[in-house]
Formats: sequence, C-alpha cells, structure tokens
Amino acid sequence: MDIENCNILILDDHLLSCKLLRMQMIQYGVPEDKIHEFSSSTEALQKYKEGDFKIAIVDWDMPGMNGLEFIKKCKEHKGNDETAFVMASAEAQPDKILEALNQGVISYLTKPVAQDDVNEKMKKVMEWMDAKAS
Amino acid sequence: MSEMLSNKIAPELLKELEDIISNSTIDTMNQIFGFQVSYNPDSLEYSPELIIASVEFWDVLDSFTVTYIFERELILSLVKNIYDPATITKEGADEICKDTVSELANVISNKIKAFINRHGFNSVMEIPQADILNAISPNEMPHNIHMHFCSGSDKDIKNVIYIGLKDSE
Repeated sequence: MDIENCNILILDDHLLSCKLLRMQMIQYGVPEDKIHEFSSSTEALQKYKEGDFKIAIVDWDMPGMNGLEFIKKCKEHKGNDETAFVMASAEAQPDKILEALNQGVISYLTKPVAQDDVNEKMKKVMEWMDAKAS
Repeated sequence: MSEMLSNKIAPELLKELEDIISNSTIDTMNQIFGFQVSYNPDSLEYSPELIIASVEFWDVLDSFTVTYIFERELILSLVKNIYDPATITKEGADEICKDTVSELANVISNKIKAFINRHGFNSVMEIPQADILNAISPNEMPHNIHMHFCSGSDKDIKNVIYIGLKDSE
C-alpha cells in the first residue's frame, strides 16, 4: 500500500489539532489533497460512509459522538478491515489506551503529538494495511 | 488551603502535582509551537487581553477546578505559523484563540488526570471550554495554588500563562 494513494480522514473537535495533524501527515508524505479534516463526528461519519478512507485519525473526547462511538459506527457500516483507525487523544492513562486498542484501534497517538511518533505509528499502520491486503 | 487540595491530596503529592502541571505546560508549548516558557514564582502583571478555560475534576467524594489563562497576543502570534494568515481575521481571531486554549487546557488536564488517578483517585474531567476573560487579573483569582509561566528573559520577561487550582464551588 502506498501512502500517497490513501485518503485520510482526520476528526477532532479542535481546529488546532486538525491543523497540526494535517501538517504532520504532509510531513510524513501524504499529499495535501488526500487529507480531509472534520470537527464534527456526525459530518465525518456521513463522509466516511460516502468515501474511501484507508486511514482515519480520530480524537477520543468530543461533544456528542465520541471517538470510540464514531469508530464503532464506521466498523458497523464497512466492516473491521476497511480502514486503519488511529486514535489521537490527550487521554494518557494506560488503561484507557488499552481500552481503545481493544476496541479495534490500530495505533494510538498521545497529545501533544510529536512528528517522530507520527512517523513510527504510521509505519505500523502501513504494515497493518499491507498484511490485510496480502 | 482547601479541604480537597490539603486533606485529600497529601502535601508531597500536591508538590508532585505542581511539578506535573509545570512540566506538562512547558512540554506542551514546546511540542506544539516550539515555544519556550518557564515557570516563574513571581506574580508579574498580565496583559489585559486574556483567554480563560476552567476544567473541573471530580470523583465520588470531591471535586476541584483548574483554571488556565493565556495571553491572547501570545496565542495569536503562535497560531500564525499553523493557520493561513487570511483565516485569522478580526472576527475569527477570538474563536481561534478559544479553540487553541481549550485544546491546550485539554492536553494539560489529561496529564493531571492521569497523575492523580495513578495515585488512587478515580477522577473524571469535563471537556474544557474557553472564553474571553474580562475585568479580572489572574493575580486576583481566588485560587489555592497559583502558577505563573513567563517568556522572554532579563528585562523583557513577562508572564504569559497562569494556572490556578481550587476546590470547586
């Protein structure tokens, strides 16, 4: 799987984090036009259903539908293996991170997110996608 | 000292909590913006244009509030490297500042929550909301713990971030 061909969904209720993640994904090598940012879970879910997103980077604590609920609904719609879900959250408790991983999140970025962490976690995401494709 | 902060959280833990807040604030500003701030024990005057976010933590028995105050001018200067300058209009600047401060408060608050829960608490926190602070200086805030963070050096030093802790009302 080539990162340059992957549509990426970014969902965070804070515009600042959307912008920062966009910059970090571009730094990682994702073309700008492949990155789609959303600050509303409802809108993001609608676009997810209509689109072809290989990777979704999702905040956890958000008003209304939270990140885990969003991921659950996405999986209900398209199955477990369609998209690599990455959680990007300020939630730093190990048991909470484990909870997210147990619910089908492939990787976890703790805010404030460092570029090195993005690079490392995205490498694992790409490996996961390659394994699913083979 | 309030009941929650003095009685429920032991003094040595409270000191550690202050260190966690201080380190998280310095790290977060550096990580997100590449901007250096330092803890400053002196309560210098703040700019009159400030953005405030308060976050309540609570468990079964008690609750306390952490208040974050950031200088508006500082936030605007930092987000210029992140947003298209055309989007930082006069009308949009306040919303961008509030979004930024609430996310900074969210990141630091989660470090606080992780720390106190590692020490036997089972606290949850609300999602931070930020607003413009009017007519009160951080130095007049009725908090039990006051923490100031400054930028600059020598004669140019000024406080740009304030964090205060108190029992919830």
